[in-house]
Amino acid sequence: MSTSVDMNEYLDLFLQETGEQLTILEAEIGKLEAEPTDDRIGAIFRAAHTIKGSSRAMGFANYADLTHEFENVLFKVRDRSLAVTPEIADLLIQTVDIMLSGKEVLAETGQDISTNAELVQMLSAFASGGAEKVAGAISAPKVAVVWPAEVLEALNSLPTLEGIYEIRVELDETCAMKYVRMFMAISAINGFGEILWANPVHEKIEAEDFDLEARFLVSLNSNPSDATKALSAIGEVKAVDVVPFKLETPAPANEEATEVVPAGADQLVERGDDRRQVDRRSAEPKRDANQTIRVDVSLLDNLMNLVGELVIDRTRLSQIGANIAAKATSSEDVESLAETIGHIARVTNELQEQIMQARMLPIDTVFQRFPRMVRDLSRKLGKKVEIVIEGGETEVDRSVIEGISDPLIHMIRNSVDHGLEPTSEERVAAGKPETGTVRLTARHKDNAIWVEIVDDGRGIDADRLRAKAVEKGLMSADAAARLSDRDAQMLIFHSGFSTAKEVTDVSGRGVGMDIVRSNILAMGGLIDLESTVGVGTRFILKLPLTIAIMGGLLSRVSDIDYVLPIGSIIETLSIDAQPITKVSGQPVIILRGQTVPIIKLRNLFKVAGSFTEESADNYVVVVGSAEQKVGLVVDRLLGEQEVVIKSISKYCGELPGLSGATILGNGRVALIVDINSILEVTRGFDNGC
Amino acid sequence: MSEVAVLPDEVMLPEQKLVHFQLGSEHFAFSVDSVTGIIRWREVTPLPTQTPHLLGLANLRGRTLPISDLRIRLGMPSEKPVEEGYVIVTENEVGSVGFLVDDVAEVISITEADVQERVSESRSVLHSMVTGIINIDNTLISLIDLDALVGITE
Repeated sequence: MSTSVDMNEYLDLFLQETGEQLTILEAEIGKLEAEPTDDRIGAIFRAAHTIKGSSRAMGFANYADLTHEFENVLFKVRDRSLAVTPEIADLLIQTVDIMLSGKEVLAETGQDISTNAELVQMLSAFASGGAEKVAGAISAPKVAVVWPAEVLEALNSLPTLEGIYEIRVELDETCAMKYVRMFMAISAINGFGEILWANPVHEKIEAEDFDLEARFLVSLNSNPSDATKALSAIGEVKAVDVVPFKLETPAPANEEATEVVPAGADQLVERGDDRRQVDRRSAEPKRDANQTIRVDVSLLDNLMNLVGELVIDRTRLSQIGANIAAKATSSEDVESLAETIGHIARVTNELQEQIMQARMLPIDTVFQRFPRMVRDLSRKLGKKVEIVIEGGETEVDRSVIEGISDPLIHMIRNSVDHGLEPTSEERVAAGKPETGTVRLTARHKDNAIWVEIVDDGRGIDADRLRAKAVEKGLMSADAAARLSDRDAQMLIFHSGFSTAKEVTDVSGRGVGMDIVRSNILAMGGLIDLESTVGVGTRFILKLPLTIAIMGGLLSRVSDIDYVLPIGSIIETLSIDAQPITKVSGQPVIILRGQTVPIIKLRNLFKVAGSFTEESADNYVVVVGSAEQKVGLVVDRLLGEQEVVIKSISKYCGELPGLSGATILGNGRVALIVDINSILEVTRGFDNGC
Repeated sequence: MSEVAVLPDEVMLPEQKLVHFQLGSEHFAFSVDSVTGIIRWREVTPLPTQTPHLLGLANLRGRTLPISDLRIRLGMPSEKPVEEGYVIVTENEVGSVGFLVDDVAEVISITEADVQERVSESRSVLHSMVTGIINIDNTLISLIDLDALVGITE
């Protein structure tokens, strides 16, 4: 698992190391043509090899490929099958230049460079052609595996080398999946002891960037012959050597003659570490603790805000670019501007995604406390309850996790306390199993997180809620009778509405569900319920992926821009196609048999003195859920856009119907419409026809 | 007063910095402590609110800034079009607010000794927020209590 977080952590280290190696390359490559000494070639080769290894480990494949081809040419130069002609020298120098500028790209964007096919091809032509042989070529130096100095030093400091073995595993030439076989070998070795160091390092094995053999320094805790047997049993393994490790064996006496395989990112991390720790470090496939870091939450929040600003500027930049393109006469600059803007847009998107990713936590962070809570509750209430949790691995933004914790506690308590039948006898009499079930599930759907709490209890009795509403003086008996069953059931979200016959200390005094609802709405979510008497109740929470950024439909009324949250939009209609009629004074449209109340945004958001002409009403945006819809009338639809939600200063007081503001690409402030509060206003109109 | 008598007092009293601005022909000032900047008027998006002095939200470096027309707020006649005004940006526990004024003169330093009791004969909004009068070079400047200005939003 090389997630973005890990990579961010290593990017600085990578850049630092690559910078050092590039300095070497830059210094040596210029002198290569005049003085192609072994020392020089070796130094260049090692620098390139290190860069290749670590850029591959960082996932910068194009950068690594370029370096790889460079290295291949150097390989030919080193074994004297290729002479350093002016042509080759030029090519190599040019490649180093590209690597230098490429490194700046990596530094700026954290993204791989774009592929440079032409250059790669030229390099590869030289590497494979091996055009001219140098007279009097020296035979290629013998390549021997050497353990990094750190390892040797660490081993040296051990009181005894007893139990330390060097294991060599060689795969068959015909082996198709080298990584898989080597991985099996590593797993097998792990069964016999601890791998202290691997050569090549695991990243390279993973990338299949090794020849047919790998060597491991292992602290064996069982018989070496067992290990040999187990390793030999793995398919496509050609040879296995397990020999006690001796320090005096292949020491890096002659650096030019040996290929020190760099350890890539691992080595970077090691640097500056206590040397004693090296022998504790293993090259196991599982990349462990040092691959993650703890980050202050406020840092993530700040990053998110900064990216938010960037998202705004990106949109703005595209618009400015388009404006310039429309006016400009010279095309070259305009084209490169457009290209650059396009690139910035892509990088910004990626950055936004990655940072959102970094803020994700599995929803289990909240869920995991519920089994315990339900067990306590069931004991306290004397009910048999089982909680089933599904989808705990669903990843959710941190802000959402924080927001749903309290509401979920309330809802689960409510389900156990009020949802399920009070006694097992009642359940058995209803033909249900003695033990009640509360099912808590989470999943991604339609770019949102859906959390459901389902109980197999009594269900919500609409008539009892109607009676309660009348009794509490919330509405007349007439009005209550007119409520649909579903609307009556929704009354449980009304403040001061507890239908529990007795108030228990488990689930409050009618202050639970309305707070749950307002919390969910406040974070831009929706709450819904389905309930059948005698069968059970299902609460559905539809939560945004993140609270900071949302997709919106930009609409204009007079000269004010409004953002309608995309998640709430069902469809958009031209007003000509949908004649508005009135039902008991309320303007409505009939949409496939369903009466949908209509609200003109110009009336809803009346600003003193403005918005008088109505001729501009052009579109109806139908918002809400399948059960409850409302049509919002706007002048113009300006298109879909991602917006960063900005809170409005408290100085402005209550602003009904608005949930916030945002800044558009053109720098204007747009107002974000709070669909939930509008649905609230129209509740009760939707149950005609 | 002799100089000898004044000096110890000045040492005792902490200096206070004020933003001095004009609404029409009248001079006002409030503490610079909560002021984060002064900008030219910029376009706002009106808010659906019944508060006439709240002109709307402006974009201030990627954040939204509500702008209050201080002339309307204090019941002063507006003499200049909003486009020619300045916005004093303040930040406090209520959030950020920008106050539209006609002109910003300068930042002035005073000590408490410079502030005279205001002569209270009116119950207007303006007078409920003026905590004192300062006389600088024969210009009378009304000292406005910014907290009162921000705290009361009808």
